Amino acid sequence: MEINNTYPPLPPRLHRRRRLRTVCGWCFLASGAACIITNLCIGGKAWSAVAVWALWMIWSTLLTPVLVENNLISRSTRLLINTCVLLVLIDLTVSSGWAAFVIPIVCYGMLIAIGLIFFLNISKQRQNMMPMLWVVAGALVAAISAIFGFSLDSWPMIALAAIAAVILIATMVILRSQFFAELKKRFHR
Amino acid sequence: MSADKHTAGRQAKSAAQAARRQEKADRQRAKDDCRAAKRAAKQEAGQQRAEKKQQRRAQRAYEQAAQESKRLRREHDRAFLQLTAAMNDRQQQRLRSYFGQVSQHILLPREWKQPLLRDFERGIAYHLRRGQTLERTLELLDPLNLGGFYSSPASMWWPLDNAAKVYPISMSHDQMEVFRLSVYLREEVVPEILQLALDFTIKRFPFFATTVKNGFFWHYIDTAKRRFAVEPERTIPCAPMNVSLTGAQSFRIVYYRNRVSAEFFHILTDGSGGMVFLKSLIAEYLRLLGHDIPCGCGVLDINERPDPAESADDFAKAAVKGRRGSGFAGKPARQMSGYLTRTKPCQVLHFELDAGQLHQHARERGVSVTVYTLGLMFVAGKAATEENDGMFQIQVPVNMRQYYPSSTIRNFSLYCSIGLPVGEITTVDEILPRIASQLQQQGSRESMLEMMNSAVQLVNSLKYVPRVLKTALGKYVYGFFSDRIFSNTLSNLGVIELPEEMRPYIEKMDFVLGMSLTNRAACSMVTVNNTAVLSIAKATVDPTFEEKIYALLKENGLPFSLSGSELYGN
Repeated sequence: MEINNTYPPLPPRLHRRRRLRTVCGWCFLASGAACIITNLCIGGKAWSAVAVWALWMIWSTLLTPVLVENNLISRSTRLLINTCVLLVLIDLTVSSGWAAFVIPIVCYGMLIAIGLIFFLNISKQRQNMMPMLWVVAGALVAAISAIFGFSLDSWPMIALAAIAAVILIATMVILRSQFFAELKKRFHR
Repeated sequence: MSADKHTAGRQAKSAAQAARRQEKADRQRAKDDCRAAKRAAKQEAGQQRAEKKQQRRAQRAYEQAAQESKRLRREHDRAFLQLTAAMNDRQQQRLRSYFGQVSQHILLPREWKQPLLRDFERGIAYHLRRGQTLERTLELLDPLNLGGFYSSPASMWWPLDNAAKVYPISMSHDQMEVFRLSVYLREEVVPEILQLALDFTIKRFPFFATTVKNGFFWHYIDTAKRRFAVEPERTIPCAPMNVSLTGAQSFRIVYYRNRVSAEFFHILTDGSGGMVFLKSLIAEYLRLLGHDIPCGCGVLDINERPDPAESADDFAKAAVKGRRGSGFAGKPARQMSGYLTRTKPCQVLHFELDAGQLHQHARERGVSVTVYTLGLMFVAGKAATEENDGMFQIQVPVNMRQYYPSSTIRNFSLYCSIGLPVGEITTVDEILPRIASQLQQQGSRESMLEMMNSAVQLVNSLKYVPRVLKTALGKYVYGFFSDRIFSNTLSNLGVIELPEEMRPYIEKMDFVLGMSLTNRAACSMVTVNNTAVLSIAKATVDPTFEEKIYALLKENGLPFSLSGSELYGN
């Protein structure tokens, strides 16, 4: 069966990324399992949870990025969420008492960065605003919970709430009807 | 006594001799084994060397092609500067005013505007080098063709149609529902002109100029105002696309020699819709080369305002409320043998047949071309299966436009399933009546309506479930329901109509389906200019299936030529 080749030559290393993913996947699985087993064997604090989450962070951020909307804002948002979870885990397992103060600082720092990415190129980033709005909403909910549920005595929480509110109001003022149009798209059924 | 001693001595001597002989034979055997092992090792090393050599050669060829493409682009840019420098003042003035008009039509960020302007420069340089006058060139590349697409803000968005909703949910890094339509021209493709043709055509298909976005409940497509690029072909057909970046396109236009291919992520359109886009693009390309190509026969007027009906989701309109559907679940079908390759498709093959003869052949048996091809596929599928039990099921997409008046260019096709027990597949002629009756029954309007109702009901029942949950489950559910229940697919786009003026420039077309998770092959067919091309996209190195098709076509006296790709790995 003679086939007349009508297709162009291809780079021989066509699936380098996939191979890297496979190799790293197994390495990460082995490392995670080793951490858990070692932790169980030697006992003590559950530090393996931190190690496993850190591995997951690297895996999901660098090796298997999301397939839809992997833009700068959504990447930053995911990084922020993963970092917060990591900090909570460290606080719970290794040394406790500081997360409630540190996490809002990390959040508002990242929120400022995300806000800058958004407002510096608003025409392009308009379509990518939803992850930012999720973070803003999360920050406002956290701040409201702090007001009504707990004591609002830490300045990072106040700063976080203020920055989130400023970003939300600025986005609504700048985009006006487009803001609601964007929400309509995002919540269509 | 002495005789006994003598006999014993002789026996001992002969035993010693036999032992020596045995030892010698053993040594010889060991030597032979050693030599054979060395030979095998040498052969293996030789094979590895040859493979490495082939890889190096492929790498060199690829790099050369990339360099050549870059060199040509640089040369064209230089040619434009040289040509404009040689122009008189009046011509330069005319050119300046022309580019002023072009600029007026492009209100995009610099990163997109510059390449668009460069497209015009390259197009002008191409025509001038071919001896065309400046006036005629500027007339051909009229900036009015850009319309308002590049100067208006992105405001449109579309929910995915009912058929498309599953694709972004079920996709993974290595698996994406992509299909490819190719047209083979009589002459080599002119990339500069093809790029301009795409720049002009895209405005007529606004829902193609989109990017996939995440909604809270479903994905949707949002307008992306940018330059959509034409690229030289550099990857495997139907390779997954990166749709994750801001403004990332969900289709690609690639060219190689005389072939222009359009690859679509299935969320945008189906084969029929994709064909309308490709025909309109090629018609515009030919017009920009100076040929007079009218609209009609599926070639749209690119300067016409897009009809909203073209981007409508006709599933929702055509479905009948309150009528229960039949569902999608089914028993797993018998898959063809052969290891699944990691690269999908690992090879693409095209059987090029005389459409008249094929039609005649099918008619002699009292069946349609689709039924006849299905017959070939069943017999070839059985040959490629080692098991003798289970059902061999072939998925046949059905164009719903034949049942419902629709002008949508988005997805509007469903599928039916044609199945035969593996043990009952005998010869092509014997199974054709059963296939024909099944196709008539399963592909009927009634059955399709039931399936459409099922699809609409399924989508409606999931509309309040957050997308995150759907995505987490979608991949597994899709693989379970939609892939394993079929052994193979045959998608026949039928005879493609072209304007009479366009025919002389078109040699043939082909249609390649992307691979699903577990099926070893996917077949597709398209006929144009009396040439029917049966394409097989493969996900196994095992050649039994296509070899059987080859043998069956030969047996049946159907002349054909075979082309395709190399094996992309296993």
